Amino acid sequence: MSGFLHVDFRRCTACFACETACRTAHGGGLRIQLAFVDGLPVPLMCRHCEQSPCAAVCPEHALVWDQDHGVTLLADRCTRCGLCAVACPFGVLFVDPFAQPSVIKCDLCRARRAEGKRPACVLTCPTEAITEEPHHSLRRRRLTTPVFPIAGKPPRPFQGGASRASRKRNDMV
Amino acid sequence: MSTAIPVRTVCPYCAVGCHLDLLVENGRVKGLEYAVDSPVNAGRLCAKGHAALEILYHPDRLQHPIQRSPSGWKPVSWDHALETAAEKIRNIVTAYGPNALAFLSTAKGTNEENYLVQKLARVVGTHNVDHCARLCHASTLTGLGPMLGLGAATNPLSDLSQSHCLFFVGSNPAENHPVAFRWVQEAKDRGARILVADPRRTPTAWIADLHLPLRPGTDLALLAAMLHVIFQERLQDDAFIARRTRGVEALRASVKHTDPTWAARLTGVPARDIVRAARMYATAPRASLIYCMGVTQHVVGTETVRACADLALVTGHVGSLGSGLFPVRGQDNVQGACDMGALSGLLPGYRPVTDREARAFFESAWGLPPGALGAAPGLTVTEMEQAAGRTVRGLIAIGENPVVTSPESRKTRESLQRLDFLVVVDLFMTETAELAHLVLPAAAWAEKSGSRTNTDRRVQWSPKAVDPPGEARPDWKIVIDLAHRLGLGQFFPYGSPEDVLEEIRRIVPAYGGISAGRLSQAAEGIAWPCPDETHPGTPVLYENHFATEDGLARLYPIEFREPPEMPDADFPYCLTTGRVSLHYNSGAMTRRSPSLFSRSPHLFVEIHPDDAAREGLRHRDRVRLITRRGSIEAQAHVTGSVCPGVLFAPFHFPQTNAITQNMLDPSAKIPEFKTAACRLEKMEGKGP
Repeated sequence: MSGFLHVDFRRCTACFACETACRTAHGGGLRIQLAFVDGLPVPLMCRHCEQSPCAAVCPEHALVWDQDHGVTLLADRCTRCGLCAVACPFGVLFVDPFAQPSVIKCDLCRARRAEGKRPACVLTCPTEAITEEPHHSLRRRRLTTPVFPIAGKPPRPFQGGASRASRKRNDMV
Repeated sequence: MSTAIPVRTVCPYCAVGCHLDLLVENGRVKGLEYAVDSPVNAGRLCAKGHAALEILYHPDRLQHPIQRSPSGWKPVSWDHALETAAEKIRNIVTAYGPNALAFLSTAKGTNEENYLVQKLARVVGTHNVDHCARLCHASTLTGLGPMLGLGAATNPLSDLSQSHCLFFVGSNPAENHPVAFRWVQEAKDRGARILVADPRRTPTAWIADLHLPLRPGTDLALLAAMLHVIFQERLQDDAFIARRTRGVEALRASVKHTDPTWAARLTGVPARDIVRAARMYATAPRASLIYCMGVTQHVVGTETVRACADLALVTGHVGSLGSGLFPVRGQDNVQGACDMGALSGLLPGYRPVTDREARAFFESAWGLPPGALGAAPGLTVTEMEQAAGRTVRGLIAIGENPVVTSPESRKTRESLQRLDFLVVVDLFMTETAELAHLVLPAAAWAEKSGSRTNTDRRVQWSPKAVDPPGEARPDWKIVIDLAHRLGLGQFFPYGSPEDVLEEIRRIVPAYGGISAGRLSQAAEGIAWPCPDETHPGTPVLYENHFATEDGLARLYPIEFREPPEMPDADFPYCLTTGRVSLHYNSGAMTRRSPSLFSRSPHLFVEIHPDDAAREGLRHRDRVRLITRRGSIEAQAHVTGSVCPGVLFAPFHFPQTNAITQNMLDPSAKIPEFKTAACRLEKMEGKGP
């Protein structure tokens, strides 16, 4: 898979830009949605699991995991039985009995990526809460970012910019 | 898609001024493309920006002029509509004089349109022209104007990312200016401290290092106490005060007794937190103070704005990169509408109507006889509504919906019904248009060209992409045609918005170098003041001197007053109003956008779990909110994000302002929207 949608819940401001962007890119149907936990937003979309429960339960093998596109639907095999929607642990996959395609889920904006564009939600998120990250950078992030920062230690210091003293000197000039 | 031509327009919603690329094919907008190379939003859009196309091709768009008749609404021709309007206006002027007319201009219109509306009003002979800035940032003009020289943001919003400390007072950009919030998040990523003073734990407060949940209407006490701490602990910037300000002794004396313990009692914020906030803000090398309607929409709005400016001035946090005062505007062109003088007391370029020289200048510039412009300011939005049907007999409302946006709106509705003649120019049949005698269909943002000024004072050109639906026309054309029918054609010799901008350049010095040709070349527009063609624009104001007569900023002493209506035994809660991210102002556009409305379809009221338990309320119960002015129904949202004793309701629904207070700030004439004593009654059933 070329990229992975990394969601940093701490940056999400519940502006709903991703939901409307997704609807604009794909038409109707919820492919990404904000769930709220204790009043705080959690953007949810297909995680493209490698050993995906939805693909495992599909009796027709209509859902397959693909190296480039994640969990992909082979539309002509689908019988719209709905087992995949039941199996999805994140609740981000819906089966529409009438729509085409039948399974409504995030496809990592396959059509946009074919045109060389980034997924709509990634591009539009004002605070970069949703980012598309290659595997190696995610791996590096695991190595470098502490899961539990040491209590009392301030976050990364402010980078760049003049100190108060030097600003004062500039003002004088 | 391949044949579609992208046209870069400016988003019609908030004042960030994001670019929106419309794909135009065969005269229709086929879709939306992200403006990835835009220096403003770099492709990002909020939910409302995405839904903008739903407005453009909405089936409810007005397509023909319609006139009220005994048998209902009747479509009429433009000729007939304009002739009727002109005749009624002439009759009113002959019978009652020009001051019986009032004009509501619009912050959704371009600079050119606002200039034309105020010019028409003034050429007809009245200063009764105003717009919705009166309801949002009027106190910024009256507060910052005398202190700093201009009532506008000192720095562009992108400067927020360069600050070490961001202090938000009554401001919630995460919901109201989502795209601008990226600069806040960027500052946070670089280690900046975020302070938020707000009665609610808003999405902005989610990332705050320190949240000060104060009682609504007590911002002034909080700011006074912070100034007290700053003077007490000698955190002020003495060099800056000495070199660039006047009046520090009076200010120091006025905050001598406003210590944090006193403020803690009034605001409900622990004194320790007030001290911490004052230290964080004052000691940061570069700090920004961002305030919005939580500060301005009070009867002490002007004083609170001045307290914000005092705080920024005594700490020296004005006039450099990353240090500034940000009154963040709400609408795409509310800054421009103010610049263009669509205000009852100010001529274009903020020249007061009381100034004899200014009047003489405009009389000669517009070719009016000397003495034609009155010396007394006209009526403001709220005053017009109170006088409607009494001294005001005719109202021309362009893109305004006062029945939803004005306080105590039931009275507004009654007084508008008393008018002899009400014309509404709008995209949709709004609540106000339903009361009108004549409704004219207007063009939306993509259907007209013109310049718009965002909250950074950045003027951007938004070109026409497609034709308006049916017979709808842009506001500038409607105003010019109406002026010609009124026999004032000699004052309105314009054929296009570009012609109007040329006149604005001659008349408003700050816009002197901002030509249509230059704007269409400038990727991110030009920030005024820009006095001539070679001037690059001024993103940061007051770097060397303030725009006052002697170049020094004035510090104003602070005097705290309590809100006019405090909770009591009968009305135990304080109702405050505000915005949500999916809706916009009166909701005329967003309540018609399916993708926005489906996510936020009800008027709700946020209530603290303790209060809900006492009232026996559960989440999503129906409640009745009762104030001294009436009652409304809403859905209860039980949430810990509001303080106990405080209720919050969004004002995008027609009901909300029926119960808000119609008390005005004496100098800015802005209503006290943010506090109202209120009680709750549980109703049967779930949801509205």
